[in-house]
Amino acid sequence: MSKPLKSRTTLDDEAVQWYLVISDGESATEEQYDAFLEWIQDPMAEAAYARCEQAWEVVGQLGKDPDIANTLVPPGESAGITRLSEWGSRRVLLQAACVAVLGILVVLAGPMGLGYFGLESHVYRTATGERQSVLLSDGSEITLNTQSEVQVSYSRSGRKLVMTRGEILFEVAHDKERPFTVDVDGGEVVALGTRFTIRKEEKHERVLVALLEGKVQVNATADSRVLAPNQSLLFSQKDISEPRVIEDVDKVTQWQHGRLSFTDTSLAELVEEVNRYSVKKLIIQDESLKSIKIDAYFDIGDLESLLYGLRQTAGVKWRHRDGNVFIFRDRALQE
Amino acid sequence: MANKCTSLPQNTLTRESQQFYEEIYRQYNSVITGFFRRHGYTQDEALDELQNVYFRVIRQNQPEKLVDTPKAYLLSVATNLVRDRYRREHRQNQQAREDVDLDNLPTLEASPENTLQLAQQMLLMKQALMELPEKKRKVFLMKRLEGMTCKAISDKLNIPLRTVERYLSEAFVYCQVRAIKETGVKN
Repeated sequence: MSKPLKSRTTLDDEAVQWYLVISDGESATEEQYDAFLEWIQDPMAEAAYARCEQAWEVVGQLGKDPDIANTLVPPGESAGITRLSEWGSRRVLLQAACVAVLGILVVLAGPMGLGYFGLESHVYRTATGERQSVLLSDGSEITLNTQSEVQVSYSRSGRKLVMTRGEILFEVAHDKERPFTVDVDGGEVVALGTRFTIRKEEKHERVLVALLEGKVQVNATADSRVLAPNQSLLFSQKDISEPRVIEDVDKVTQWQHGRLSFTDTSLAELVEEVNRYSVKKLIIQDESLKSIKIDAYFDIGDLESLLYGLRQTAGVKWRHRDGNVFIFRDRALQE
Repeated sequence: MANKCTSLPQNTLTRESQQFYEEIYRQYNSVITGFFRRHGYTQDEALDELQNVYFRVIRQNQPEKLVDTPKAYLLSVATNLVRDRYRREHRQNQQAREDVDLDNLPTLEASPENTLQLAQQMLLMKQALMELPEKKRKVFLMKRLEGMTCKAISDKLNIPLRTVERYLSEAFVYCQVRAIKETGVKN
């Protein structure tokens, strides 16, 4: 080549500087665009700039490369979206177990004294994104999902819980003498030895009760129903549905392991669910994105990995603004 | 890909978005026309090119940019049109410097040769990225793949903003030269 190496390097530096100013189409001033067009009139500059465009594009394509992705998400942290085969990994289960055990240990310390006499009264609540398992004095275990609250009052004659918020899994120890009842939104769920979840769906002003094992009776204002295992029903202040077979039991309980899976779910639904776990809310900006169906996993608390995964599978990009995350279609990928 | 896309993006404009574009047009047409005039367009050419700006803007469908930074966004689209014109003129003039082959400027259009070239470039680019010190690579990829601002990267990695900017341009230049320049444009 005819030109000395040094001046070439400088031109490449300049091109990169210009590219970073100009390319996002958002931050440059009118004067900068003027100066840029002045600069790029030189065909050498034009060529250098075009190479930057190309380099940028090629790096973008490498986003799918596992080694490259690992730079951003080190192998130690699991990505928000993983293939099914990776999901069974022992490490994840171990993590979930540790979280659960820790929750039990922390909570045990408090109400244990009273619980020893079969009496206890305590309010348990979880913050956004938090999850907690509580082992009660009778051997029953409750697991609170994000943003949940329940008051537990045990006496010699009964085990009474009042659930005021969120979603809770109940694993009830058998005790014929002391019925286990959960009051929620004017309804009452009565259980003997059994496993069930209650989820308050604030948006629809209704409660979902799903039975996994045993038998529960739901007494709502409108009527009473008995659930058989793998059945669920919805009730509100004025209505109660017939029991329905739960199609995917994992869906009902997966949150207790700290990970949510979504299959063939619209992005709008996914975002609504994920937002329950996060103070930072996802907001979809492009109407056309809302109905896109995706398969995804979300490790509760790891929003960045979810976003990174969505970028790969749904072709979105995002922007952090005002403490929230705005999601757009990534046109660069779409073209 | 793992996802299923059962509904495709609709590019047709709703009435609201049409009104939105019209409003933007009213507000900025003189700025954009003036911009073209400054860069060697006649008034008529400028008005024609103004239409092309809006065609591109609507086709790109990036409402967020129009809402956040309308002027900068419109000017960036206009700038690309001026660049296209420069290229056409250079090509016609045949006077381009000997060591730049303007017909072989890298393009991003898909063709069998380009696909092969892209695969090769991806390989070289990966090598180049891996040759970088980890911090620099991380900064560059956070910018490129996660769309983070330098400020956000600075906060997240706990590195001064100036250093982030320096890492970013150094990494970018290095990768460009190694993967594109030293292999891409040939005479």
